[in-house]
Formats: sequence, C-alpha cells, structure tokens
Amino acid sequence: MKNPANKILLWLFLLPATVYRRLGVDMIHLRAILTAKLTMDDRRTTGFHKMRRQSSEKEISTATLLTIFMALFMGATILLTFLLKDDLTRMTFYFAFFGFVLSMFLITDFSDILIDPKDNYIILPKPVSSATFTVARLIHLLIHMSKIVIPMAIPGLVVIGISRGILGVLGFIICIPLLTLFTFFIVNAAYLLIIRIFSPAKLNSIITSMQIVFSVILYGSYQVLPRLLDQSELENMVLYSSNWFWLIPTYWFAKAWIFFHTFSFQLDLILGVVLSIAVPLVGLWMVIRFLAPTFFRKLSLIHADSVNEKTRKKNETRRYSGATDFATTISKLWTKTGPEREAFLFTWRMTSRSRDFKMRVYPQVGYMLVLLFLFGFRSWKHILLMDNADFGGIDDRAILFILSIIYISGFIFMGAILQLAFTENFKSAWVYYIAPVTQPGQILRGAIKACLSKFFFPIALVVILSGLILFGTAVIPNFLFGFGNVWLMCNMLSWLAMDRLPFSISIKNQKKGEISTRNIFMLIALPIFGIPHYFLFHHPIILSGLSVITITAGTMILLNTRKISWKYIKEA
Amino acid sequence: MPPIISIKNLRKSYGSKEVLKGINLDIYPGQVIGYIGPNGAGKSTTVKILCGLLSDYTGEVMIKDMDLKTNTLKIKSLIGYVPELAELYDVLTPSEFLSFMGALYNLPAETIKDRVQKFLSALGLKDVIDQRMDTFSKGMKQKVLIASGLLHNPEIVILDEPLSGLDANSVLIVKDLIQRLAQEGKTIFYCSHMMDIVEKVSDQIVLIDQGVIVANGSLAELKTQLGDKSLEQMFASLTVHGSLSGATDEIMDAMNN
Repeated sequence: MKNPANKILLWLFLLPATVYRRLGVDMIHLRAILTAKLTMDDRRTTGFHKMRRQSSEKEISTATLLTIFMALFMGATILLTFLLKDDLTRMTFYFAFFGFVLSMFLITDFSDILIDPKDNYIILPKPVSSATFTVARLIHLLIHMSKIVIPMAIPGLVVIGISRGILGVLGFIICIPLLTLFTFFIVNAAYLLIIRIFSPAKLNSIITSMQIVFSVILYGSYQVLPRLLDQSELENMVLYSSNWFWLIPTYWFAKAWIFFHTFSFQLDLILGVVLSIAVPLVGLWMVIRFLAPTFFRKLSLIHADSVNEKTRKKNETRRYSGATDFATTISKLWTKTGPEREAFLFTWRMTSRSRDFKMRVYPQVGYMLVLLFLFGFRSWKHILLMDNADFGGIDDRAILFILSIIYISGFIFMGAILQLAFTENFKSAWVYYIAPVTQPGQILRGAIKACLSKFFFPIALVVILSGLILFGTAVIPNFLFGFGNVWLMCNMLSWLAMDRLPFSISIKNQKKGEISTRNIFMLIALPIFGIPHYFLFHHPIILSGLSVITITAGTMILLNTRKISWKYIKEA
Repeated sequence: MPPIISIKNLRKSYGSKEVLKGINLDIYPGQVIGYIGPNGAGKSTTVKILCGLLSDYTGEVMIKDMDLKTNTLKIKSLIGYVPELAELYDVLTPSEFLSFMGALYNLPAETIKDRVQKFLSALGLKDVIDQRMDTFSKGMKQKVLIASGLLHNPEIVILDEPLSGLDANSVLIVKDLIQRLAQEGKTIFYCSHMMDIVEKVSDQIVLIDQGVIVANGSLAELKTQLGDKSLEQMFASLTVHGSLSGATDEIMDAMNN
C-alpha cells in the first residue's frame, strides 16, 4: 500500500486495537484485510471513473487521490450556499448539500467498493471470525467515508474559520461528524428498503440509475447554482421560523451550529443540538444493531446464486419481454428482415442492458434537461410576451430558445452513436466475424435505426408537441427545417462514426481524439446549420423548401449506410 | 481409522427448493474423492457447506470429529479451497494476493514470502509475480488460486473444477500434485465435470444427482455394480432422465428444419 492517505487513515483507525481485541477481532487478520482492501480501492474504477465518458489507458493507481480531489471540489462548490446572508438559512442549505453529496458518494461506491461479492469466495472460506470480518468492513467503510468527508469539509472549515473564528470552527467540527452519521444511517436504511422492495439483483440497476442521477445533479448544480444565487432575492432568502422546518434534519444541524457558535441558550437552539446528537446516535445504534448485519448479508447476495430465483426470473421476464415487444414492433415497421432487423433488436437491447453504455450515455439526457432549463430560465419572460399567431413580437432570446431546443434534441443520439461501438465486453464481438455477413452496412444501418428510434425520435416528438402547444402552428416551418437539419447532422455523424460494429471495441481503445469528435462536429455543424436558420427564422416558405433538401439528404445518407463494406470496419 | 469428514443426512434448501436431500458420506484421510454430478445436482452447495460458506443446513457435518457448525474457524484452517470460477481480487498482484491469503491463515511473513516464490515459480508465474492479475488469462488466475488453496499446507483440499482453463502441462502438474498430496495423507475432495480426470485421480467416486447420492464407490466397485462401462457411460445412465440420443435427435431436427 503506497498511498500516504490510506496509510495515515489505517494507522489512525487501528489505534484502538485493545477495543477491537475485546470485541473478538484478530488484529493480524484485520490489518491484512484492510491493507488488501485499501490497495484495491486505489486501483479500482470508482463510480466517478465510470461516469467519465472516456476510459484512460493508464492504470488507475490514484483512485483515492481522485476521490479526495473530487470531494474537495464538491466541498468548494457547495460553498456557494455561503452567499446566503442569513446564518440559519445558509447553514441549513450548506448541510443539506453536504449530506446530499455525501449520500451520493456513498450510494455510488457502496456496492462497487465496499461490498465485494468475491469476499464470499476469498475471505469467508478462510479462518476469519465474523467479528473480524464485520469490523473490517465497518472500518473500511469509515476510512472510505473519511476520504470523502474530510476533504469535503475543508473548504467550509476554512471559510468559517476566517469569518467566524474558533467557535464557528468548533460548531462545524461537531456538526459534520454527526451529519455524516445521520447520512450513513439514511443511506443504509434506503438501501435496505430498496432491497426489500426489489430483488438484490435489481439493486445493481437501481444503483446505476442513481449514479446517472448523481452525475446529472453534479453537472446541474455546477451550472444552475451560481445563476440562481446571482439573483439578489435568493441571496437575501431567509428561513423564517416555522414548525414545519423541524421536519428538515439539516435545520437541526444549522441550529446546533448556531448554538455552538454563539452559546446562546435559546430553547430552539438547544432542541437543535439535542436532535442533531440524538438522532444520528440512535441511527448509528440501529445501523449496528439491526441494519448492518442484514445490510451486508443482503448486499452480498447481489451476485450470489442463492438469490430468490423465482423473484429474479419473474422480474427479468416481465421487464425484458415488454421492451422486446415494443422494439420488435418498431423493427418490423422500419427495418428489413435479416441482419438489419437483428442488429436493430440487438442494439436496442444492449443499449438498455449494458451498464457501461448506460453510464456513458444516459447522463446526457440529464445534461440536456439542464441545458434546456438554463435556456428556458433565461428566456421564459420573452416567450410569454410573444404573439403565437405569426411570431410577432418575438425577440432574439426567444428565437435562440426555440433554436436551442431543436438543435439540442440531437445531442443524445450523437452521444449514443459515438459510444455505441465501445464496451468492456468487446470479446463477444466474435459473433460478427464468424457469421457470413457480406455487408456489415446492414448491421450498421440496423444499429443506427435503433439509436434513432430510441435516442432521437422520442425527444423530437416531445419537443414538437410541446412547441406546437407553446408556440402554435406558426412554428412548423422552423421545426421542419430545424429537425431536418438535426436529422441530416445525425446521419452525417453516424456515417463518420460507423466504421466499427456495435459493442465491438474495447473502451480502452477509445482514443481521446475520438471522444471529442462530436464536440468538433457540433462546433462546425451547428454554425453551418444554425446561423442560416437564425437569419431565415421569419421566412416560412424558404424554410419549408430547404427542409425538403435536408430531410432528403439525411435519408440518402442513412440508406447508403448499408453499402459499407468490411474493408472500412475497424476491429477491436 | 475414523473418517476425517463425516456427513450425515445433509439437507439444504433455497426457499422451497430442496437441493440436498439427505447426503450421507464418510471420507477417510488420504483419500481422493471424485464428486461428480450434472449441473444443478448439488455439488457446489455441498462444497460451500464444507467450506463453511453456508451454515443454514440441516443434518450433521463432522470434520476431524469437530462439528462444522460449532467449530467453523478451526475447521476452516484445516481446509484449502480452490473455487470454481477464477474468483480472486484481480487488481492485486499474485504476490500481494497470496501474501494476503497467507496472513489470513496466520502464516509467518517469511514463510509466506518463501512459499509464494516457490509456488509461483513451479506454476510458471515467476515472471508476472508483481503484475496485476486483471491482465491474466483464466488459466493463470486458476494457477494463483491453486497456490492460494495450498499455501497453508492444509489437511483437506477442496478443489472445485481446478483444471478449468489450464494448459495441458499444468493439468499434468495438478494431476500429479493431487496424487502426491494424497500420498502424504491429505484428503482431496475433487469436484469436477471432467470424467476422464476424475476416473484417473480418484480413489472413490461419488455421483450426485438431484440432491441425492446415486452411486458411491471405487471405479472398480462401480464397474461391478453397474456393468463394465466407462465412468462417462455410468454417469449418463444414472443422471440422464430420458435419453441422450433423444436430445441429440431434437437438436438435429431443429438444425434441419
């Protein structure tokens, strides 16, 4: 174990050796397990790594340092709440964000790092007592949490130290561990609840969804928070006394911090202190007494074969048959039988079931929503003021909003099509090469059609329907031309990206240059298509005429995809 | 001589499904037991119980006169286990992984270091001793697992498909090793689908099907009981419910239609 942060934390957590021994812990085993686990943590891909769209070819030997850096960054980001002027409001929001970010870190890492199903085969057959194993898991968890909590708290600690002095720091140092315990309890309880409702096997897909939501929230808060706090009315926001606020746990912590900061013996502040101490401690007791044993046992079942097979099969059959029926119907409407249809169905299923694909692509749905929110946030007043009949009175901001929602609608498809070839399970691609497929273009066209059906048409449909409701029929020529452009752009990019078969290339072979293909393409294509659109916005006849050209051009490219031959195909 | 492993009326259920339906088996020191059966017969469940991975069974499992349920840790220190899948922490190096395993068996650091070097050298992994195992082939990982199962010089060795992914030379080494270990008095519980190997290395063959033992004895004894057949033929006659040729016919039909 080379990482100094791990070494220091391990040394600290092993200091109460006498206590551990009294609990029946074998210190040699404990040290060996923790050393191995911390070494592995340093080399593993964490939830954060998986969220990154590219995969580095380098070994991940600094995962701990990256986690610490990320936590530090998040700690700095949530300092934005310090712009709020009222103490109680500011600390309530600060603690809320702190707890939220911490819980997201815990959720994303719990199953990946802390609960390793391989322990069942590697550690459990060895003569290691259950006390040693449980304490090892708890200490591993605490070390992991320390690597997040300490750096995340440092920015807040520094700012409070400068602005409020030693008493402010004291309150902060007392409140943060209590908040951490409370968050740990909540996450534990949430996990257990999820496992009770769903099968342990289903937990993996729920965790994936949570990781995706986390990445979107990270991006969203980074983009939206500064803009929200830019509004002076928010800056001066104050949580007035209301009994309802006692339902918000971070309100107690904020009260507790004020108490420790001012030592003002007011009833509400004392109540805040009592709740901040009592609830996390009761929660911790519940975790140790009831939740932790069940939690570890149930989580270890995620990959075990003793999962309730009946439940699992029932869930899987229901989910997959539903998705397959819908995909089959669309494929029958839009693809030719043979390789094209099979590639369509294969791509449809894999994009739904492949965890690494989902982790790389699905967060973009959230990014798109955040972007739309930002554009809408800036232009909503202008949109409400305009006349729907002929776009009279529409100003530049509203035009830019309409163009934005049209052109952003292709982003997810573009992300998906560029990621489609890459997978961790690339070795399975042998199936393409042993089958007597004469034209790989048929496979590619099926794959493109699946991506269009899944990642472009539904979004376009939502945008068109919302646009028609919001702006009326006058928007149709702009939608025709705009979506015609997006259609053409999507097909052009597909043509450029489709020199590899779906799910056939190792993620490690994804070069950095290729990852920015979409960005470069968008940088060139967006102005080429978007600027003329902006100037032609009020010319419906020209727009309608041009849309025929773009839609035809896009369709021609798609039709020609099937002619792509083996000599253009790259292999893993 | 008393049995080193004594299993009496062993039953285990997953929910409403009973996978072991009263297993009775005595295994003596120095024996090589070939434990065979079709998929889902209950082999892995038996292995998991013997290794102390599953404790919610009924019946009695005594190892060296100790009840497995009450002396789990002592018994675990007597057993060396090589799991079926290449289950190891593959972000570690072989050296790190085996040192960790040695520490869990309370071996002195010097002994671990010495044995790790010798094991890996013998298994042809000396050059990759400090290389992360996530780049290893299945066979290389399997060799590390074999080393981890033998590192603490166990009295009982439980091998669950140990030859999976190994090259021909390594198979020969492991086969030879099994026989040498047995000669030294170690008890080998060998779980496999590979009939030819089981036939060659086992003193006693136990055939399990649908949670019950359907045949138990040396190869010679089984031949006397079931007719002069190969182990493969005996396996088929005892575990195929229906006919193998019927299944073959169905496959051929499906291909031709």
